[in-house]
Amino acid sequence: MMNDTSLYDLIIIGSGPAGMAAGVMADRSGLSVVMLDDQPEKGGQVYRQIGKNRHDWESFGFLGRDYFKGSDLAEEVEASGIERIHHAHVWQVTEDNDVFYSRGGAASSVRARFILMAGGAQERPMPVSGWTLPGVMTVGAVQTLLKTSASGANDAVFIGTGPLFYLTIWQYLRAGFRIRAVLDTSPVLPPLAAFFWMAPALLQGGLLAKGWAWRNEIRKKTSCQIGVRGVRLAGDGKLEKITFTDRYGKHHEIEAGHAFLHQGVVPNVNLGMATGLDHRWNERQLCWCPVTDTDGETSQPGVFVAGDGAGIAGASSAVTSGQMAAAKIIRLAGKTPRGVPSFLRLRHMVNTSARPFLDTMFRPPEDWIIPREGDAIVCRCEGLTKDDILAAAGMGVAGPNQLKSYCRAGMGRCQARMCGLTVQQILAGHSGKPAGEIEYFRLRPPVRPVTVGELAMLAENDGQKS
Amino acid sequence: MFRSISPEPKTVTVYINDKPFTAQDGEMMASVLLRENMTATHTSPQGQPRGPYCMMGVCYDCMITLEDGRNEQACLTPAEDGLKICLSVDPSREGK
Amino acid sequence: MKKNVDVIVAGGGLVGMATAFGLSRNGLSCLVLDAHDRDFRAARGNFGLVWVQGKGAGFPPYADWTMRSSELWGRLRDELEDISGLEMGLRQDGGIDICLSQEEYDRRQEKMDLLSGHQNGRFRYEMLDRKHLLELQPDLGEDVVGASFSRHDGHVNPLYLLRSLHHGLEHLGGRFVPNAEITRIIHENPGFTVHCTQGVFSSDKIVLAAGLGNITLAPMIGLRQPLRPQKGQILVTEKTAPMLNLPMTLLRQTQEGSIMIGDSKEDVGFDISSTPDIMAAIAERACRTMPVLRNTRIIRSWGALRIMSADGYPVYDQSETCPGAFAVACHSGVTLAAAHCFDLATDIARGRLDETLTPFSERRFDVSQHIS
Repeated sequence: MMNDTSLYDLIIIGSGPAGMAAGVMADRSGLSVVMLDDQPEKGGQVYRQIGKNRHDWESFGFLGRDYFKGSDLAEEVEASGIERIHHAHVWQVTEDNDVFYSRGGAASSVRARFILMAGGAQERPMPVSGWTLPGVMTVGAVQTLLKTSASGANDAVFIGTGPLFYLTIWQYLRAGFRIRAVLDTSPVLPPLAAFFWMAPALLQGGLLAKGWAWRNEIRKKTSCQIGVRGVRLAGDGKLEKITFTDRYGKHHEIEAGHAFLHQGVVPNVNLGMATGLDHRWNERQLCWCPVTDTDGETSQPGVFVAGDGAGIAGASSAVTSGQMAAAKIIRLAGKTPRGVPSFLRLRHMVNTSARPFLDTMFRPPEDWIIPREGDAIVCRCEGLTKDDILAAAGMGVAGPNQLKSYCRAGMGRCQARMCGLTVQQILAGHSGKPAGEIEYFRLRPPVRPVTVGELAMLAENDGQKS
Repeated sequence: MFRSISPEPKTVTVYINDKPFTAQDGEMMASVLLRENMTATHTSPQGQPRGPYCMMGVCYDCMITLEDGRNEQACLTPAEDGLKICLSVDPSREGK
Repeated sequence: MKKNVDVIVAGGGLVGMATAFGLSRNGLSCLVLDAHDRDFRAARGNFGLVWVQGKGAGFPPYADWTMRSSELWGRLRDELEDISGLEMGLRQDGGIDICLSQEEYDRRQEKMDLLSGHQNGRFRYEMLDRKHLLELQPDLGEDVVGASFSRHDGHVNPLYLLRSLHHGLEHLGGRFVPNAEITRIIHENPGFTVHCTQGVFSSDKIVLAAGLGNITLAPMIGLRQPLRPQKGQILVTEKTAPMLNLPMTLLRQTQEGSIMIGDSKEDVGFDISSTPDIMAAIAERACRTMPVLRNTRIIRSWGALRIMSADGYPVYDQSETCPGAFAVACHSGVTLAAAHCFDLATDIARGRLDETLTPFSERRFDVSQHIS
């Protein structure tokens, strides 16, 4: 093909807990492993910058012990023979297992017998009216700023629900930042369905107890409203004030320069979908997940997915899912897996046992998935509102791809990462079909923007001329 | 306004629209911008100001321009000594 | 059986919608049956050129048909913009076809002369050497030797064209049904009954405009429509400052500012994947043409299947065994939209294709088979 045709046994895309755990096992078992990640350091999002921070409890201890759990894994990676390439932005995986990436303004490719996509998750879009205003960010962004530069903003308002929401607020309080208000969008009465999932969830009782403690602390220590509805973010050129309706139907207005949103995370599916892997709709998590066997092998032989990118299940599950994928890869490569934890599948089952409860408990209600206001932006890149989407849908669309060609939704830089799920739900509501029957946008490589020159260099280096 | 609570790390000088600013070595430029209260870096197709939202490279709303003309995400651009970036937001522009 | 509409049009792409709009303009009630969201849909892979130069150099009727459509395009734009309020961004200020070698330049000149000769001077063009070309379009790479320029050429936003045709059809009372895959067409003699995944419909006439879908549908109305897919890949950049003054065959800047870069001609069957080797080759050629593009980012790629006949020219037919049935196919749905709307649709409305379209019949392939 082109460029670097050196063949590795395994390419791992993403160096979060799944990628790291898989890489360590594969390396230990004698496979040649290369790990590509777009960040300067290993750790993914959950263990972001753990390599640097792990010795600095004084500055970063407020993040909590769970964060520091990642340091053992980080050490194992450093001690291993894994070849790590950072600042590598993967933009295509072909059906021949060529992985194309950009680094420092140059495009390269690398090939392996096996590929593990461990690209993790992203925030679920939360298309609140005014969410595109400067000063509005996600809770994930807040986490990143805490972990990378220990920075934060005082007097911000947190809006949303979910485990990561409560964790971040708890970390903010520990770090000493002032919080203006917490607008909890969870319904006042937890959904009945959640209680059906309580029994298995108790296997992760420690996790639930922690979450419960954080939630209570937050309600004690901050100005916290539960069951908030109808949030509008407003301001002239940047966020200045927030209006909402409380659970009693009373209207409120708060002045704030920063708002942090969160309503769960969803798998990063762009690379997998652009590669042509089969995906299925997960109605409980309201997102798309790659179709895999129990070890994570996808519809393209030799290509695996592990971690939150396979389905949201948290950091400890990511580790065991990475290990399960690695174990199968190692066996397929004709070697014996080394360093496999005892009862791996059982551990994985325990690690995922609280998931149905959490998914049901923190499932975003309908009016947080689709904005109520017609003027709320749905497609950020093209600046399209819910009304714009509905106008195009009203012309008679077969699905989101036809909609895209009418109004440009999904045509921007982010390749539908910020609008895809919202558009799907809008079309479901409009057509009366269940969301799972609406297909997703057809995604294609490059899944990240690449310069014309970088692409051209691939041909130039290959001696090709058109 | 964002502020850091960790002790003094190694610092470098970066240039934003030709003005010098101090950054931590390796800190992502989006973090520098937020600390300097520059929450907008470019505009939407309708002319609305946009800035960092996700800090992880998926929202593409923290766009900046590098010296060679390439557009890049500020949250994936680490600060290096002497790095020059441009914001396309015109501070004097009134929102449409 | 009582009919639902005067005409059923199979296919809601550029050819189907332009024809349906034209039929509605002629006072016929029209129903467009469009299939699924993920179908091949050449209409979504269009580059957007309204192009005359070079077309039909080996087939004068096509040169005439293309020229005619280009001359009518402004009228189509006016009517559609009046109805939809959407600016389609039609520009017909001329277009350029770049030459990257002297040999290419010389061959092009020959082709243009041939075309001009057929058209008795109606087709006008100029061969521009590098110096004169740079006056029209600066920032060209050093490999650019020159270009052919024709004032008849132009470009438009193909997606807004499709959307505007939808508004046009709706405005004139036409109906559009998506997710309607046709499974059977029965010739009732007279009239037709069409079975599809959205129900059963009946009409006096039927027009097959389903692109590659015509291959399976045509035998149902006693025609062949010998078509095959030809893959083309396109790259699309981020929005950037205006830098392309005129459209080129392989490079054009849209009204929003993004630059479309083409293309390829691949014989790979029904495959529309974006492949790195072709993407790289397309990018490489773009950099040779306009080096300043090197630092512009590609934010998406596209792959689509052109509707190709054996000689590359449109195939228009009316069925002899099933009177009232027509089949239309071409790979230039944008350029020919006006001719389809004003001329072809009018012919279909009156029940008979004009003799100027006889050269486009599929029977021409039978003749060539005899000869070879």
